[in-house]
Amino acid sequence: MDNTDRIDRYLTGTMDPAEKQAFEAEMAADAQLAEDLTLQRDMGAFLRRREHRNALQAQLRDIGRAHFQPEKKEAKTVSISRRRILWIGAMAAAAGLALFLLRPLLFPPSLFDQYAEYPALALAQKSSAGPADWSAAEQAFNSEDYTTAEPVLEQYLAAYPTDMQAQLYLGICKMELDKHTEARQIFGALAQSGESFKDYAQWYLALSYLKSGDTAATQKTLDEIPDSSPFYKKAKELAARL
Amino acid sequence: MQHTDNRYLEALCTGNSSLLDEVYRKYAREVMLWVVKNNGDADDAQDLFQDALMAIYDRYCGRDFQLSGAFGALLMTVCRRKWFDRLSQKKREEGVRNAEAERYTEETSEWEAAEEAILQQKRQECLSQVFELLSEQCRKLLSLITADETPVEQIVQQLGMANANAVYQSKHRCTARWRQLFYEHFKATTHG
Repeated sequence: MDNTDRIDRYLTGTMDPAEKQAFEAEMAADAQLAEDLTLQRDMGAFLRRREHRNALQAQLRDIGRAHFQPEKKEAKTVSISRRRILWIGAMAAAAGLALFLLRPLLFPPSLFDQYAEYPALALAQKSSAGPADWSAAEQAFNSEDYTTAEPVLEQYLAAYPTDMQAQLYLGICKMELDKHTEARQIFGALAQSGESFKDYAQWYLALSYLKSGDTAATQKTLDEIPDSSPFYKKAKELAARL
Repeated sequence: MQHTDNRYLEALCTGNSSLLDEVYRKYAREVMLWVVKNNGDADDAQDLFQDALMAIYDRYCGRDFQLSGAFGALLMTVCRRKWFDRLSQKKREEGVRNAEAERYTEETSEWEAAEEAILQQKRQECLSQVFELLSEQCRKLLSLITADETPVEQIVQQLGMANANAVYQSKHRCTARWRQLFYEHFKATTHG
């Protein structure tokens, strides 16, 4: 007997008290029913946490890198004139710091650079039976090496063509590499999909027009972002700055 | 009673970066030294540490379970327990012998909690794997209805279904299929 419906009603609290009591008594005597219930609860947890779980993995990878990389020992130098070296070092550091601080004034970031922020990539499938290493795509993307990430993501999508997250990130790579026609095809298809990546796709589609300097199309795409989108506020802000 | 280390667990559940960084600062060195002592290297330790944190996440986050002991003790035990498995799989025999000697001294409550966490992680990973075997329509439907809590009327429109009843019927059919796939794969992977 398939108990999916009854388990669902039990888990969502939509059983009346008498049915609930009878169900719990049945479960106490039926180990398979109890196991099915545990599994259905786990399925719900999996679906609710999936995106957060993927993001957490990427976050831990970044934090872990800083804590587990072997410490690099500094090369010893012959002490020719320690004071002179320190002085040159201090001057270079001061010059570097000044350049760093003045950089936004000397080279202000473009509007695109100000808005192009991407969550870390964490692919659903980690390993491959073949020669490809999917984590290479994650590492490359997360370190902004889009030239390397693009072909690995294309291989990944050949293996998992329905993975919408991978499609979205491939679109981002193409946008960053100024392959705007291909990027817009990807974002356009995802924006029509009605999936949870729709909002991201609409926003990145607008960014793609922004990057290529097409202000009218950027404006039009931003205007189409609905107020239910998490990017609505940013879209309005960017539209006002165009 | 909630243990004071629960803030680390909460950091894991919410993704609080500064507290997660503190977790690494506090425990990473200990794990690294232990792994290196037991035939591993820094990369192994980094991977193991992250994997252990994910096991704790799978067991405790979004669930009713409370942490009964110290977070650090559980984390270390999950790391050790996982490392034994990896050594066995990689057949690093000398490493296994060293680690096994330690294994038999481990009969703590953390050991049981670690076993539970690792089991839960395996279940979640298997669920993830077989979820991809469902049809695209099933994956969309289950995600919309459970993860996004999309109203049924909207799902009817988005997925081009006849009515709300059809959505519920499909949901149950997809859940039953997913469950069947899980049982087939999980039993196959855990019982050889």
